[in-house]
Amino acid sequence: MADLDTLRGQLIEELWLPVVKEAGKHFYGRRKNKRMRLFTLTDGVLFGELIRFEGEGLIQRGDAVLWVSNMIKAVRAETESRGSVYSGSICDEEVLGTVCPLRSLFPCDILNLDFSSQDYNSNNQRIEKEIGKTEQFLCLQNQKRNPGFVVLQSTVIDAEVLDRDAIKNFSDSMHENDWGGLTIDGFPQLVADNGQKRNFIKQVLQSLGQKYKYRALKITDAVKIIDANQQLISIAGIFTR
Amino acid sequence: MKTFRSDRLPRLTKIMYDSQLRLNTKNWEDTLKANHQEVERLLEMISIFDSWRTSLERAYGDVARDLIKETFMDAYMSVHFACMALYKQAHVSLRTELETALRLVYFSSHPVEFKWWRDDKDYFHGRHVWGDKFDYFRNLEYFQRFEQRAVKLFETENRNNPNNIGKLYKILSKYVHSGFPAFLTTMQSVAPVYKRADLNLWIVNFKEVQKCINTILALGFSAEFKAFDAIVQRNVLRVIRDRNYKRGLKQVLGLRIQGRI
Repeated sequence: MADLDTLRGQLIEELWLPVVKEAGKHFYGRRKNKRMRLFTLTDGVLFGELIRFEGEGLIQRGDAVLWVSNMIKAVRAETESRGSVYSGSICDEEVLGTVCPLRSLFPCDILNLDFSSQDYNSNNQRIEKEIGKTEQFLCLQNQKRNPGFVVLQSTVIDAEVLDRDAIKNFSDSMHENDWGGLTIDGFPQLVADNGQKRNFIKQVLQSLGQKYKYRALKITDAVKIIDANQQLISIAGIFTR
Repeated sequence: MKTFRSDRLPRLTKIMYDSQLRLNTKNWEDTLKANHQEVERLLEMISIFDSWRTSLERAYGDVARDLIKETFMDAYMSVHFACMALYKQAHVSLRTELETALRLVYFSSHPVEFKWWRDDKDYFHGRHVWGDKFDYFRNLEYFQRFEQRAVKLFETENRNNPNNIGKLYKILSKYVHSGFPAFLTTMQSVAPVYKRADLNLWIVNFKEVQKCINTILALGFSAEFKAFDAIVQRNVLRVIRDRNYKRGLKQVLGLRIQGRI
């Protein structure tokens, strides 16, 4: 069984860093220090993305917003970053609620929604909830009138099937003018094959961008094998108006 | 001194800085060499506050946001002090942890008093909301029922009823008020060093405090506790450990958790 931290390190080098660099060039031209604002679901131990993005002059650590899964990791994160550190179960956080502390820290240029870095109590509809949370973040970016940003969505997929209609229903419950619903009808009601799950999540992300009036300049993905049943997948997209 | 340089510190400060650095490292290492698994278990116990925090912040806003974090941090710092062989301070942190949890229950239904307290108005005297032998809590419905059906939580005198909140508070207060057995120094030394017996005593008290606090939260926030999914409810009961407490909570709150916990 491959180590998740090692695989995440490979994703940073092979997918996240090249896409964020490309987005930096697109949004900030040839400016040497891009100072992009990062929101990251981070592991609270290695902070690989924080270190690498900063090393490449893409972000400044003090501007970053870190989310870790528990308070023990939050203490550790505060020793690593002068930025803002929050903790808790991200899937239970009311991102769009008026009391959510993240509201005032958005918009961000990079949304690293690495759900694989967070602990969770239950596998029940886990990925469906993660996708729902991604939509809330895109909605928040839209509310805060962000003209363009990068999304890195990562998760562990396993033998659990994905419920297409649960995702569609949740998305439909978030009303948006002139929007006819997610375009995911080409997928079965229960998505079981791991390759198909990756394409499905990619399609949902692209469609969610459209819902909030963003155009996908680029959308790409990578997969890392954990073991015979589990894969770490990551989808990276550059969205703009 | 814009950049920190220890060699530029004044004489006494430098001596203290050097000795504390060495002591901290040595005591942490001596403690963890023999007890790393136990320390890990204690940290797992206090991770339960993450679940409480998510739930209570949603329901009670600022009160929970301020006090749950502080409760957790008191527990965390207690572990920190214990690993540095500062057993007196480790116990003091346990008492403040217990007090903060009691305040959380009280302030959750007293927003005005919470504001006064946060603004540091001289409103509360003496033992604060747990004064008069925990009279406020004894009058809350679920605490009353728990005392009637399971354990006398706040009694301090009954010898047949050990390990409750009242007695634990008394034990911890000895460390706050520097009762003799709770001294930091010994006849032989002034520097705190790892002592297995002292650590073991602290571990017992630490577990008892976590038991009491999770019981206080489960009874004080019964609706939120009942709304937890079964996995989290089980995790809370695992921290509580004590069979009588678990049985009492199941009865009083009408929990339907299957199997042994």
